[in-house]
Amino acid sequence: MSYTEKELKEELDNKSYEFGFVSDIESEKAPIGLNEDIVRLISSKKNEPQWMLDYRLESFRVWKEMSEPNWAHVKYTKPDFQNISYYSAPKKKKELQSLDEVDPELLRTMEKLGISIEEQKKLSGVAVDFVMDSVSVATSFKEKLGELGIIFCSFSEAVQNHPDLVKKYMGSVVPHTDNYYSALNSAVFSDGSFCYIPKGVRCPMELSTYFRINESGTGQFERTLLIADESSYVSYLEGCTAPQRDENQLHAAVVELIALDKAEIKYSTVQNWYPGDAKGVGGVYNFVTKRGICGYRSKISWTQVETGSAVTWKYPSCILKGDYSIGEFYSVAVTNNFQQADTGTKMIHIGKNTKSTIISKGISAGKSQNSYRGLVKIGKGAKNSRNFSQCDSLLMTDQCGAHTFPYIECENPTATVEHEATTSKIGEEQLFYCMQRGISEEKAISLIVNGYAKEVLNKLPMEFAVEAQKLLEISLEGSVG
Amino acid sequence: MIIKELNHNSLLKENSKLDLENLNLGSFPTRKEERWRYTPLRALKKINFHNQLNFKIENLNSLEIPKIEGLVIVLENGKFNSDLSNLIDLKEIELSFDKENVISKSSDETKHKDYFTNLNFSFLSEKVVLKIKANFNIDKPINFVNIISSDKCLSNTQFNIEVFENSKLHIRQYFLGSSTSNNGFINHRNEVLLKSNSSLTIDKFQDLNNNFNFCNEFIDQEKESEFIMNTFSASGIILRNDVSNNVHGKNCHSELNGVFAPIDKQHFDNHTTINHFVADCKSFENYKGVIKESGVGVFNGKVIVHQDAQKIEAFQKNNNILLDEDSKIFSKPELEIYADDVRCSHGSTTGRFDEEALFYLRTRGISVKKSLELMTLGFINEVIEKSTDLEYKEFILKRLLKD
Amino acid sequence: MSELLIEIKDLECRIDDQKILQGLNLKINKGEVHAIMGPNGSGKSTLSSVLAGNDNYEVTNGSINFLGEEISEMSPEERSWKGMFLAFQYPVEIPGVSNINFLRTALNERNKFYGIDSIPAKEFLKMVAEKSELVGLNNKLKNRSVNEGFSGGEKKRNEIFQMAMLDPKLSILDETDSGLDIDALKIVANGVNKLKSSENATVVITHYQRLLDYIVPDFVHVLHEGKIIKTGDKSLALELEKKGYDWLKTDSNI
Repeated sequence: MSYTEKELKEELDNKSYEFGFVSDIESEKAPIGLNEDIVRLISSKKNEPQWMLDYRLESFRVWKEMSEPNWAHVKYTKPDFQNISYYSAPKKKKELQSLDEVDPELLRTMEKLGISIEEQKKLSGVAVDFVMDSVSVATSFKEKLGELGIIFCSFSEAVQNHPDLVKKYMGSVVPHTDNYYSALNSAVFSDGSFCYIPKGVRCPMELSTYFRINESGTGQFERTLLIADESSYVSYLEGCTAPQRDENQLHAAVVELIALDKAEIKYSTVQNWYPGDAKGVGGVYNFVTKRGICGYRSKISWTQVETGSAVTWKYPSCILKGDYSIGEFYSVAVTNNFQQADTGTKMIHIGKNTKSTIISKGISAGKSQNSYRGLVKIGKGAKNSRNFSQCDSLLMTDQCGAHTFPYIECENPTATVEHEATTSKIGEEQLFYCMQRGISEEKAISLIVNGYAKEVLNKLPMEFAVEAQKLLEISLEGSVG
Repeated sequence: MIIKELNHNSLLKENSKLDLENLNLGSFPTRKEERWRYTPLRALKKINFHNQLNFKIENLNSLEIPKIEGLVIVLENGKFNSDLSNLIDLKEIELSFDKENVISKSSDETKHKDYFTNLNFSFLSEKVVLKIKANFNIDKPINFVNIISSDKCLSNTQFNIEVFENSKLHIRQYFLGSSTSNNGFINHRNEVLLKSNSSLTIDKFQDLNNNFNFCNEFIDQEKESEFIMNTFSASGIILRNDVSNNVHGKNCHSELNGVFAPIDKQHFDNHTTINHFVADCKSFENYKGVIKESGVGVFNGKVIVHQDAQKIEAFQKNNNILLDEDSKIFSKPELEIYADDVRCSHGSTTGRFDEEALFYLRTRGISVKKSLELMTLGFINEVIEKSTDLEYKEFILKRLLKD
Repeated sequence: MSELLIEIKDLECRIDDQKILQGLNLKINKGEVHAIMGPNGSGKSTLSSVLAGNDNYEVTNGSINFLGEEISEMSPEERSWKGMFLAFQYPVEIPGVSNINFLRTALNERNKFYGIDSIPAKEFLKMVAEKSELVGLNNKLKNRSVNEGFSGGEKKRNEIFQMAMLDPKLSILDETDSGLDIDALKIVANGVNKLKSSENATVVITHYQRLLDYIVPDFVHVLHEGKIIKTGDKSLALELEKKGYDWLKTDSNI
């Protein structure tokens, strides 16, 4: 990536939680609580076909039988699932022909986020599917993508217009029985994104979705399904910001990626949900199931920069089913104040000659707890497979924790698995060296941390790289004890 | 909880068969529990154990171990065997069989009150208590031999070691299953207390043949003490070691090493926890797995650096070699760090021997079998060479390589 | 009449419970080169750390007046902005941070302090090209991470390159000659000499007289047990090379 450090050190201005605001759009909400009727209500609101309703009801039935997992290295008050509203949609429901029809308040919101659609359209060639309170209200570049046969739309639209694709692939990577949160999501998901890249097509632009929780007490249950047909390529960006709130908000998304033979998917996330205040009050619970499956000679690459959420539970994974397929996971996770993160990946090697790489950089500050949890599994048939994992942790204070829980399971003698991890304090010598050269402590920390995380940041698309750097700096402000 | 009424004597009278699952000792572990995730207990569960304690071994020379000299304590089928033992009188050493002896100040808090601990305390048949007085350095290793020689015999034993201030001790433990016995089970517990500036090295050798052996081990270290344990696991249906090394004083050195070489569907499990409660200590772990012919190896090492335990250096290493199809390894090296000024790292590798090296050896006229043996030797040597006793080293190597 | 740059008076400091500097006095004028020599453990490197503001050392007495200002309570970066530069004996590696980015940040931070605009990229790059020539720093090294994977000689050259970029008033070279072969030594010394002017001063801390053949000092000080026990001209260095330090130690005891 051509992103250099030169420009980015220049003006990283003042940054309090600049996205911490609440936009004032009237919402239509479902009554709080969860039962079969609510599931039916959500489905009927969205005019869904019977098969979709059946899927939701079956998922709900499974969910009721399950209990919330507690193996992660996090402590929090379990959400009261009967005290959440499972559906909320902006009141304005008619089809939008142009930006003029968009609620001006919403436009202002987008401006604050720095993603004015007009600008995005003209300047960066990024198609933005803006998800606000679970329903897509603005989509651009659809026609241009349409010419190539690329489908990029909201999940609801896909259910209506591309039922065959949805039926075939939904739940094929993350079955509704997979875990507690994915079952819940499968029952009540509100909306999300759907993307299909046809055979042999190279998507000419970065596809981007901005998520946003915007209604107090509204759980957000996004569903993303991305299918890259044979020999196609797509780079997908997902970024989140959330307004400051006093009460906990639950976010339980499901993302499924399907890379068919020789296809490549690059999925990048900058996650900046509201982490709670400096005292640990409020903040988003982020319980996400992300998984991709690889066909013959295909490749899935997850890159994530995680700075937000009060509690994170997230393991973007790859099932390397096809021979010669490749899985990658690059992650920077920053926790500050009272944040808790339990995040990592799973690389399941099934095919022969499969390869995976894991680079995880954890940074703990304040009184936070930051854990890496990862599984590398080499199946019996995964001949000549290789994995390399590097998991580093950087500690900023004596009150925080950094933990590493790797699981390595190898059942084939021709495989090679290497795992390395280090945990250390931010270098006092490095700090002093920088300061001797006239770089203030705060700046020096940001410089060192960015250097430490560079291997991962470099994997991000240009637009995200700069934003990610800013986020790291914001997240670590005043973090040194 | 220890169920006192289930004293083994009373039970013996009523019933000589022990069905592990229905002993009312709490729930039998399942693989849903994180600690037991990789350990298959079905084979153990099926056996109807007894604890009739009789002796069968006539001479230690009939066992596959090197000649043992000096102080030798032998337990057979869970009971002290005075004929095989050699209790030479050492003025520095205090030896007793006091079942009420309590050694560990922290083990009550830290010991897993789990099924097998419970089983051990409830049916305890022998407890050896060994104390070395302050300011002595005993060069010659003290030998502790724990044999199972009777089919389906369940032996619950304990060994307490207390090393007083400024003393140094070397212990060799042999856990052996006679080649003629099947499905016996030694469920053993080691408790160690190291007073300030003392030092203890334990070489532990497990060669159970067609029997089981579990060891629960608790080590408490006071300031400036040194603890080294080398575990060599050569054979057994299931071998499992649960080591809990608790460092309570500053400037301690803790070292856990091991070589495990399961073969032919054997399952060898090593679980270690090093708790750094205070600052300025160092710990090292180095485990090597050589796995072949459907063997299964497990390494689960955990280093916990508690809050305010600054300036800890902890290094953890696990390297594994899978020699052929159907062999498996599960490796889980963990770090839990709650202090910031630390240097901790771990590494785990799994793979096979370098083809090029193998080729190189073969061009020099060495057969594939010999080459693999040679490379295995090189692979585990890092741990084996910690022992300076040539004869012991040779013996260990021979048994591990199944030569 | 030369102008006073720095005056150190009765400086005492300690690390943990160990006293290191025990009443050190030193005056340096603009345009001068001072060499500080002394046996191991005499406090040479401590002096450089204390001047740069390393807070591992606690200053327990005395004062450091730099350009008319007391700096012993000042942060390292502020001292740097005022013109203090330390070439480290063991330059620190900072993974992932390129040399260029590092220096640009350093310069801009100083500009910010003085309320000057950031240096434009073009001008900055021109400056980099000029200054790196001074020490023959390989172009590739500039884009590599700070000191990471540099050889000993490359690290030392990089220190002098940074010195050229920051254009300090007072440069302290802490054992810059250690680990250098004779060719590298010449290059480094040559760089230092070119940077010398009537406006700045240099302190060379060294074990060996060798470096002083190339960077010729106006004064040579001998440090022992945290004090300067003898001051002379460059011939003192030659004498030390021949006789060692022991004769001075006995001298001072009398």
